[in-house]
Amino acid sequence: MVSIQNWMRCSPAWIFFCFCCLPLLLLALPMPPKRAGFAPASHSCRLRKMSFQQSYIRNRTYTLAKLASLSDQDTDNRLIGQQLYINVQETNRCYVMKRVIEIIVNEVLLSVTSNRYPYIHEVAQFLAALSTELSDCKFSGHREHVEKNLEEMKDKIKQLGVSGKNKAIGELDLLFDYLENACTEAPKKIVTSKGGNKRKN
Amino acid sequence: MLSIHAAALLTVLIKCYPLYLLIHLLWTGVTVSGNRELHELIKPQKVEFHSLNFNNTLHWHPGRAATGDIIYFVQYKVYGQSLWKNKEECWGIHEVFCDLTHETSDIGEPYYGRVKSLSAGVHSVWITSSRFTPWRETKIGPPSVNVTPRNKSIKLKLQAPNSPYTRRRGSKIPMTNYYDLSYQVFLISNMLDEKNKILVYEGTDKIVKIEGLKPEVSYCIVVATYLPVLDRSSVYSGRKCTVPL
Repeated sequence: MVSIQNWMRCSPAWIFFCFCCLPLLLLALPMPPKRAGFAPASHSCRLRKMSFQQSYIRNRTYTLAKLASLSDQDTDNRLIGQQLYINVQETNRCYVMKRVIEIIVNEVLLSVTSNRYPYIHEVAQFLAALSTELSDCKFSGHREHVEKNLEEMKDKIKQLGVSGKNKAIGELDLLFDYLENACTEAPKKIVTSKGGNKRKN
Repeated sequence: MLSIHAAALLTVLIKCYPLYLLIHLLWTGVTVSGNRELHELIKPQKVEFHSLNFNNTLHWHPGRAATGDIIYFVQYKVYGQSLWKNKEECWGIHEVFCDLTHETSDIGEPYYGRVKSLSAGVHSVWITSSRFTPWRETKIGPPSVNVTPRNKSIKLKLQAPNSPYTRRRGSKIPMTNYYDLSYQVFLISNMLDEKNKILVYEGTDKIVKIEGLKPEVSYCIVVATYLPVLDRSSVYSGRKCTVPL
């Protein structure tokens, strides 16, 4: 305590710190305040509808997922679902899906033996390209919920081991659709069916 | 002495082991199949969803030895849920299909259906379908087609098939609500030969005019629905024929 008080009294050093070091420090870290302050989350969290309109890659993704899901006997556990969005605002959903892609590409698609799965390289490349397009997509608000939901997904994959990876590949079709719905301007009509007017009762 | 006897016994055992193994395998095989016989023989086969315009029906084949007294039980669930739900209308039925249109109406969700059979007091195991997502897998039907003869032309009125879902007021929601669809109109130039089809229009218009035709010659058309996003075409509509004025 005494030494600190002594140092505080030593005014030239204090003044030097205030006028020179502090501004330098602030200059060195210009990004974080801006991000937290103004950048609207949705601004760069957008993918062009075009990216999803090629039936070629869509069908390859679906085919790959179908093939993997046929050997997935576990119908209780699911990785890509509404639970990813628990306590997450709608404007942040695209961010969530961007993070999901990164996890699935890095921890699943790039780590399995590809000769078991047709088209897996193509699909991985496609998804990786979209996640690059979303590199400026940032989160706004509190992140704990997102991190928690993502952690749970990761844990599930790990717990299930090899079949967890196979399950993730079996859900690439869901990943594709969720990504499209969360990140394109006019979500395809898959979403509208979840509205109120579809059921007879 | 003892060791010689033991060695002899051992060689006999080794020589006969394959035979012993074979007998053992056969024996266990027989008993197991004996116990499982009925379960296995009445087990439903090829449990799968068939879906046209979101009318989703679970189908299966009877077991290899299904007799008249066999009945079936159906359950379904959304992928990721742990509980299976009973389909009350398909609980103890004789038919080999079950309409799950209502239960699978969240068209972007993946579903499972499963069936078990009961015969002579013996239940089969549950046989589960593969994962089924209506939006991705439903077949879209051709449009309904109305033809009106005009001056050296034919006017077509096309209407996309309806989904089973209704608006609040009760009208059916068409499939165009769920997909960007287009129509492919084919003109059959030689009335008798379906192979001589010419694509004369492709687009989203509901009213299409085919012009430049000969008057008083019969023309037929068929139409298919095309789904660009999945690169899939429907079957052709029924053939409609008319004679331009």
